Amino acid sequence: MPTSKVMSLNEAVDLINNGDLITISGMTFFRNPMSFIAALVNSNKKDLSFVDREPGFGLDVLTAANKLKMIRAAMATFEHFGLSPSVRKAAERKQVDYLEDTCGAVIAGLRAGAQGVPFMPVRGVIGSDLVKIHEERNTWKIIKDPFTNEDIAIIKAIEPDVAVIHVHMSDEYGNAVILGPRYEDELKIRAAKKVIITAEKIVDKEELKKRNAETLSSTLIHATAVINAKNGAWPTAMYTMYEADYKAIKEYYEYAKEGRAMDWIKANLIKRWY
Amino acid sequence: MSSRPTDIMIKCLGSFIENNEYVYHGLDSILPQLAMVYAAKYLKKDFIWHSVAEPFLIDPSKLRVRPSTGDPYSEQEGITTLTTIDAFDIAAKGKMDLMYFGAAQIDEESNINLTVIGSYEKPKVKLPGGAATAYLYPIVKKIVIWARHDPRVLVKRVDFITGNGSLRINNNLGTYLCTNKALIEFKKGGPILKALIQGFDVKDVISSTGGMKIQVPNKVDEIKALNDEELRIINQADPYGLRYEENYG
Repeated sequence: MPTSKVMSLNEAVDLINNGDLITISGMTFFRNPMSFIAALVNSNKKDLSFVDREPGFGLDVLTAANKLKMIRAAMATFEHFGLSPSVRKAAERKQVDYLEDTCGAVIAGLRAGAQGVPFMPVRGVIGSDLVKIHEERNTWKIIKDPFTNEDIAIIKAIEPDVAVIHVHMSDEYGNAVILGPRYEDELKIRAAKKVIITAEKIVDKEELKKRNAETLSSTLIHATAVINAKNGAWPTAMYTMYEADYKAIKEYYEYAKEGRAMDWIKANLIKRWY
Repeated sequence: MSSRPTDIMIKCLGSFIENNEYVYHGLDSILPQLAMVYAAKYLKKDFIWHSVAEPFLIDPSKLRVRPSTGDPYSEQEGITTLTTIDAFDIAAKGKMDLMYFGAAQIDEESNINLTVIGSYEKPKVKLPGGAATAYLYPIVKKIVIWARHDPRVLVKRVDFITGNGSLRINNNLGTYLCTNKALIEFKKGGPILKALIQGFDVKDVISSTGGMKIQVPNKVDEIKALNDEELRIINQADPYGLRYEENYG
């Protein structure tokens, strides 16, 4: 039998090294791994880089807690509430190195990372001023398609050091199920060097069998750690289990706009998990 | 209760949806989401609804607007989840018919900026980012942009090209702008006024730009205020009026 990978939040945080590139599950206000983010905020980890397609709440908390030196995202938003408050401030004040990306390119980079190839061609993109910025950073290039000789953008593989993915259920080895929207989480799981699964519940093999193993988003081959984290996405939503807590998200947004994000994080997230 | 410019914008955005089209909306897109409800429920258009929220083939009559348009609890009764990855692959194959984009700035060539006001290196305002814009803008068949009719928004030249409009225009891809005053179409010769939002005149439209020159043809249509049934359908999907908090009037 394989070895159990169940561990505590603090043990899992120790899998992250200062300076690592991390990615998280979900999107804006949905299925963010907030228990793990609380643990990361509570730790002495620092100088992390962050990559995701369209992050929101989780990214803003990490930025407010000064854990990030670099952010790469296609959009960082609090949608109807406004701009991502701490990200906006940090980017404008140059406290983080912010690299804007575009959704299709982030997906292509993760796809290359997942497939173990150095880059992935992608349609669109050409003509955007983002091309020059990414060419300077050596993250995108425009090349000639060797078959047609036409210009095509290629995206360098994105291989996060650590992906932190919140799931509906996992067994103790990291065979895990996501219900409903999956975003790029399955690519992140396959592209990352280490995968930390936080799960609403830890289940046994029989439960997974009942659930239909065809829907496994992670397997024991991918996962490094498994954490039991009931309500671990709050205040972001866990589709089929609980909705986004917009009241709490708005309250955080107001605190963050006033430069008091850490007060909210300590009183709500840290207190919840420690 | 009478309709406001925001409601007429929703009608304008919804009028571009045709039967059998594959139509997609992204995050922070309350007006497009309601435009899709309007097209399905009032115009009775039979189209393929998909969005960044990922439920697929939902029931538009069950839609309720929430602060995030990526909320899967908003878009109910779908038969499955179809991921954003799939949506963008479909677009890359030339099969996405219509997508809606917002714009912090838009210029005469329909270039749109969602990245930064000022320079990228020294931002005056760091905007949320273009999301799918750079990727999808050159490849989706028909794009409808919504924006505030404001000198800071309708400019001669954007500060940063997030999505390249000249490529669209050169490839004869339909590119339209619905503001809270007018409907504008982008063609090779520049932007052309197609219709006025009821309550505004040509002078309102051409004088409130920040350098964007809008051509005025002899015939300009009017997009009329919503009737009771149109408004009822939109109110049902947005009973608390979140759409008005987007500040389009």
